[in-house]
Amino acid sequence: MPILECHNLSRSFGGLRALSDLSFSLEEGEILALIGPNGAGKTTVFNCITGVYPPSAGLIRFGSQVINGLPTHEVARKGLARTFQITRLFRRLTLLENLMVAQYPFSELPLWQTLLDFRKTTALERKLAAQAQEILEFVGLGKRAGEKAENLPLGDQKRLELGIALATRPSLLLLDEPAAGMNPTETEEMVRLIRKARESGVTVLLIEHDMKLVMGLSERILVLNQGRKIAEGTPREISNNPLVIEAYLGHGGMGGKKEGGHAET
Amino acid sequence: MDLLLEIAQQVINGLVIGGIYTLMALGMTMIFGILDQTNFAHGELYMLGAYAAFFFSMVLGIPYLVSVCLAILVGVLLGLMYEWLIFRPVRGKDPLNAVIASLGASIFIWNAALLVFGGAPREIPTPFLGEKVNLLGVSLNVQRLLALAVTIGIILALYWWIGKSRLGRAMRATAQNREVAALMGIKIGRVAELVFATGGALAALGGALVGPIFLLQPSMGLLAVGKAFIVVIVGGMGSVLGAIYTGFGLGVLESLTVGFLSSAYRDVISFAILILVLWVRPQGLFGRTGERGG
Amino acid sequence: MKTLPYRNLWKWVGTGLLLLIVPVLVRDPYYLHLINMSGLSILLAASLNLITGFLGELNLGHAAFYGVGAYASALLTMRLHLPFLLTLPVASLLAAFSGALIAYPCLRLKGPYFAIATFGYGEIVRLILHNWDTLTNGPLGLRGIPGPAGFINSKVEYYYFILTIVALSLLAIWRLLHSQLGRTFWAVRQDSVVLAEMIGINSTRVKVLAFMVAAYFAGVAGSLYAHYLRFISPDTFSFLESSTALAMVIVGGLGTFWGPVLGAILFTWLPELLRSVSEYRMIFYGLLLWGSITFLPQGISGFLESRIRKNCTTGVARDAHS
Repeated sequence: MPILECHNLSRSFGGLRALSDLSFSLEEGEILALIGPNGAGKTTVFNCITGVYPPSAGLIRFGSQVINGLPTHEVARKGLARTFQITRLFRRLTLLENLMVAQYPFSELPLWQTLLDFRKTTALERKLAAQAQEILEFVGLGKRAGEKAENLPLGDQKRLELGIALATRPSLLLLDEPAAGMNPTETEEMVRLIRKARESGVTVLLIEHDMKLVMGLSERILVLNQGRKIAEGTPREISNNPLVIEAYLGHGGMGGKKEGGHAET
Repeated sequence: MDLLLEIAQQVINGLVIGGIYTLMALGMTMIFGILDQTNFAHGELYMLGAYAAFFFSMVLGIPYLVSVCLAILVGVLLGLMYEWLIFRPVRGKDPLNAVIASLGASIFIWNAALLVFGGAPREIPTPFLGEKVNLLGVSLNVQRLLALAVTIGIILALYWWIGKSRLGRAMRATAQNREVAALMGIKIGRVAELVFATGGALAALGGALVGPIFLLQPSMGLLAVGKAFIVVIVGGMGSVLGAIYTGFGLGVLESLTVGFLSSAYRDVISFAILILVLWVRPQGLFGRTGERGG
Repeated sequence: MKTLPYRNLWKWVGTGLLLLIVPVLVRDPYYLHLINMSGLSILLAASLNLITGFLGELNLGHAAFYGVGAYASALLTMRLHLPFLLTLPVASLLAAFSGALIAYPCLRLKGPYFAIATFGYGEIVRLILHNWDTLTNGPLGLRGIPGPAGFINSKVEYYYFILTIVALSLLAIWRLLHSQLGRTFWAVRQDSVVLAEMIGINSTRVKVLAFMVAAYFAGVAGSLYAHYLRFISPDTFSFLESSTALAMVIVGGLGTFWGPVLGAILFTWLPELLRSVSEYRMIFYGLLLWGSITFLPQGISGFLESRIRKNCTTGVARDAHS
């Protein structure tokens, strides 16, 4: 059974159709890449799935449940995690605190217990900190636990963001340009992390512009152009598909530099 | 028939007050829409504009209409000082910093005015205040008509100016995307000076026009800024048309409340409308982008 | 620092002992009165800090919660003859409820406009207190509110009572802020609310909860105020009081634990120091508010902390593992 299914997804903003009639599904444990030129609607797909806004039409099924229209925090609690194109962190908190708060859904205590139950809160804090430290080690930031997130360099921020997503114990992970702005070494490290996450049982759907990363990492690729699916297949099939080549050439070539301010974000 | 006349009278009064709310709200909605900053001290521009007109006409003996023009100039200068001293230092920081800085400035100016001008209410006599014209049986005070006519004229001119002029275009570009505007060679600092100068002029004009109708008090800015904020929120943040409709609408509604219910309810009604709109339509009546995360 | 710093136990014991013998040291009843008022200010500032410092939402109507607590407590004792020990928590809960009522619609607004909406709410509450004569006695206010007769009679006894309440409240706020719940307060700030939702935090619920907790403690302060001073009027809970509370938090240090405490003490005693030039007081407040946000946005305690941190680089590592 697929872990995620999208049926005839559409979304428009005012008169602009950002996504039309998109259908695809994701099998448990696979890595699927979503590619396409700027403005193709890739981030719109992520936003619809995670409930940032509902799709105008269509159906999204996660596991056995239909999730369209659910608010983001409920989608998240069903086991879906995501990173963002422009990295989002809890900048004023330390790295450790970032990963502690990310475990919130499994560590909720009612207000009275937070205030009065000293024994329980102390034990919980200790457990959360230990788990947070473990995740920090996993993403290679174990030595910087006490630093404020806002002081991290960009590459480390991206890894911390991945750590936050993993701390929510997701079964499906949506990654929006996980290697954007990274140098080759950092990119390699990120690829290794994504693989490691997959090995621990997480399914991955990713948007990426770095074609080398996409070809090396993903098992299947889905190509979007102007909100429609124009191709789907293995990396080898995609790289030989004339429609894909045309779509990219028409927009200034593959992996072209991104510029801010388009409808996607 | 008497009832109709009474209503007409109150509507005219309401339009005058509404015009003042609109003049202030326009400046504030421009500052918010273009610079993403909130000017809590906008009421002090209005108050100082009124006192400037008072000073020129009463102390220096300059004719009222000339005093109004001079008060506008004072407003421009004050607007520029707001930009330099309050808003430029906190630009690009947390937007709350601007609210807090301007709140501090507001408390400072208002209490300094109390010290300088004293708490006693003052009047500006004008040649028009005693004059009345009769229009279809409604007796109208010329000063009110003048205030209303000038307000409407200025609002129309401003609306046209933002839409047409090069500076207006630069302002709109900045409102849409500050980084892109900077890339296009638009200097944010100059746009900001322009916006604050315009906002200062409009608020000071408002003060100079209603000064003669009501009494001048150092605390007049605080209540006015509250009303102007209601207009901005209810009208839709950053919406110029929304500010115009809501400003006049609120003025009329308040005036009718005072005329037919009691002046005690005037402020309650305005704030109640604010809460109602927040519940039902948080983006404002004419706004589209007020919602969080939208 | 995740837990109370037990290693500094002697400091805490010392401070505690000092606080206990204050009435012995301070004989002048007027100064003791000011110390009591500082306690109320601390509650007000610390609770406002939950909203403005931690949630990052400017609240310009905090005096409304203070007022709800004060009037509710006063009216419950005067009209229903309930004992103070019962009206204190009940009135505070009513204030918390009013906090939820205010938070829910306002939270849909963006930062600065949220602030304006809270200003509007503050005004509405003041206008209701002013105009609902039959209940609140209008602008004349309520006189002769009974004190907690029987167990608190003198200023000294009030001192110990207020000290206990303030200490317990600060302890509760401390525990809250250093828990998962407190971390979510930081998480749902405007710059990271999208991520907060994405890790499964219901941001609206968290914010409303933070408002209720803040309003609760402001209500506690209000109730204490009413029964301590025995007279309340709408003017006490005006915009001026809200902006003074805000000045305490900002000058002391937004989003720090001790900053608002510092600010509250400063702003309660400042008028005394400025008594000879009292007409300049508000001018000075305004200047202080503008100056501190422009030149010292972290407030006094944030400034001190950054100075200390510069001299003590191991602090970061220690924080991480405590």
